[in-house]
Amino acid sequence: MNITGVGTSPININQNPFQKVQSSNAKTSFSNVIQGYLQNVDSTVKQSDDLTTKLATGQIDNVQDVMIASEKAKLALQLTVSVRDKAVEAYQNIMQMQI
Amino acid sequence: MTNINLLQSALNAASLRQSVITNNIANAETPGYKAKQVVFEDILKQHLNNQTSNFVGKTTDPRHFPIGDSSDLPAPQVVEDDSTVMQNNGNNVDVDQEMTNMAKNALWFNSLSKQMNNQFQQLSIAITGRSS
Repeated sequence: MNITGVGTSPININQNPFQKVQSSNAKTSFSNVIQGYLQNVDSTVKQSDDLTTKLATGQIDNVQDVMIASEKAKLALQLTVSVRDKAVEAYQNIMQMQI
Repeated sequence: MTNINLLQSALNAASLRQSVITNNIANAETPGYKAKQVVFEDILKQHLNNQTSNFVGKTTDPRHFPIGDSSDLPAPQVVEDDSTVMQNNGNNVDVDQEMTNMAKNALWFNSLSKQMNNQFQQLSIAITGRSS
């Protein structure tokens, strides 16, 4: 019996908020990329809020969707804050550099 | 912020439903007792559906006409079901159904409180700016 290996292809996760930005346009500026990321984070959080409202009004049959959506929203927010902190830190490092 | 208020009133409704169900179970053998249940989700859904616009008129006098829908969420209501009879003494408490409702309510309460916790964590992340 052949047992196939795990393989090296990465696992695709649907609705990853940080992979939706199309990078086909070579002239995409950094601010556009950041804006796209932020819009994805916003839609993730909004989706989680929507599901929370549905949970409160008793329209949810599967609770796991709500939990997964809210964890996703929290993680997206955490990642956004981390990236922001790193960017500010880099900026401050550059500004304090002795010339 | 509205989601936190929403979750709070839903948690209140779940708590009230828990006490109503335990009251029903305690009175399962009381002659003439009629089972009660809490109606909340449908009222809340109706309330949310009526809020089509965000434009709400400010009323400074109780005689003013309300413009839009008022922002306070509806309270849960206790309804008595006197249409059925389970026993000869006029009691209509179905203990199996009450136990099922109690388990369902506990699950609902748990997921609501988890969501509440998550909302507060998101707010805390946004306020402190630290992803911890």
